[in-house]
Amino acid sequence: MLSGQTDYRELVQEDRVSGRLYYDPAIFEEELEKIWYRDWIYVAHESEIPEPGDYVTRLIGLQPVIVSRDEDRNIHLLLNRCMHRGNTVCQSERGSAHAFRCAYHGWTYNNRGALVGVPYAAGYDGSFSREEYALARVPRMATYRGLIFGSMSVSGPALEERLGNAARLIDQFIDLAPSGEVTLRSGVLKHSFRGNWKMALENSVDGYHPNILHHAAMMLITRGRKVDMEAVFGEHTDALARDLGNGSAQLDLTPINRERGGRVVPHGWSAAAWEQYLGAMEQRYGADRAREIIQVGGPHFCIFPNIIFILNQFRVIQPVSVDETVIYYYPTMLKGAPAEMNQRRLAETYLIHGPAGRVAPDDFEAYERNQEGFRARANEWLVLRRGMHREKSESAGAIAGHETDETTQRGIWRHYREVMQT
Amino acid sequence: MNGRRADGEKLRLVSEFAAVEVACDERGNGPRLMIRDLQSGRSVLLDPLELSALTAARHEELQPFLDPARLESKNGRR
Repeated sequence: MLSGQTDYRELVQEDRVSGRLYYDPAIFEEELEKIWYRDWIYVAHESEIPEPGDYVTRLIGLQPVIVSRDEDRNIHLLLNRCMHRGNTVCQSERGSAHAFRCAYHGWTYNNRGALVGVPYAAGYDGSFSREEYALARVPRMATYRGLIFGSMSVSGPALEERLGNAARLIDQFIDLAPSGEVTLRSGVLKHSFRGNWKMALENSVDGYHPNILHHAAMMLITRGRKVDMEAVFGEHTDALARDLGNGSAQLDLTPINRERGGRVVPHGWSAAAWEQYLGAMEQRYGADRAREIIQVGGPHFCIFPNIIFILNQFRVIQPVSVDETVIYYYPTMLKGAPAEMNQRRLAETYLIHGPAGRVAPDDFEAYERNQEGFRARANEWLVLRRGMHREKSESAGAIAGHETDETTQRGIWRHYREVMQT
Repeated sequence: MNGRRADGEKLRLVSEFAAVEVACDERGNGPRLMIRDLQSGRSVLLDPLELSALTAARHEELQPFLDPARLESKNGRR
């Protein structure tokens, strides 16, 4: 089907969505234009390019970009495409260079994107101007609490407006650091799967599946600590599934955390580390606020379309094609926290949520079974009606349902329909 | 200066754009930093005053050296 002919009001209904949205290559192409090359997309964290000259290479949608820091510490978001013949000029995922040289014909750019020179320059006449051939820039760039976002669209809402209700959850995540900053300097786990990117986004805020899909892992993880998973992810939990608006969504565990304490790091850290952390937090925030931040713990949410915050991680969704996706898991370290805490945060990433962890492989298996099941076309629909009768509107456009309800997915899809139908 | 031996321990610095070796060269009357480009084999010896001057330079002042055209005129090849 040709782009522009798809009726998204038909494919995305309030209580169900069509399987076509996950496997039709034409829809994937249209998503690139209407979502990935229009919306604000998370690209990197400032701590990944700490020093002048540092750079990382990323994709916005399928477009390669360079995130660089110049010698005045300014951040640049450049298209990774030589202005001569279109080659990517940087290959490494990360490095340190004040200039990039295209390997093909040697055109050389500084890390602000300016063309520094070309080989055998006499071959170009006097009308050749270096200014004309600077690396192209991503039209808009903005940061929030160290998170760098780019937008391929020259116009549109400002980043903070777009983040909306999700901004205070980013604050909640980062305020756990005694210095008020997190750092992403501990590597990244990558996991590719044969499935559509939206399944990973929806699953990140699906509170219905943990006790079922992850049952074995939950038994293993909670054994000996007498944690009742039914009370956290089950029928009788007080936790909420919340549509935050703009396609962002949250599993709000605050009611449970207030009872038993939020989760800053996995259990079992030493009393000395705890005292040191509490002291540093009290120094920054004052005793009451520090205890409140720690009691509530980190949030569990996603920002449409590509970043997820769960436990201590940033997870980044990278589409490859309609049925191939890569998830990047970045463990975040709390700046100013005791080393023992950050060690445990790092260990949590690879023990539980990495490709060989106890939880994540279940999810990836589910994504692939989804994609496999979509080949059966007798019934095209995925049902998302759970909890429609019991969700409630909150302030600032948010909608809250029971933690096991599909309020979160419905929020994602309402936003999707709105942007795709335009 | 190609082919001359530096006496000090060599450090190799490699990026996706270049590979160089640096060492302290003590064959002259005073120490100098030897930088050797592993791709072209070119090398340069920089004395402490030159190195001190470099610490005051901005990276953008080094840009003329990064112009590939400059490398042609010096070596007759890239």
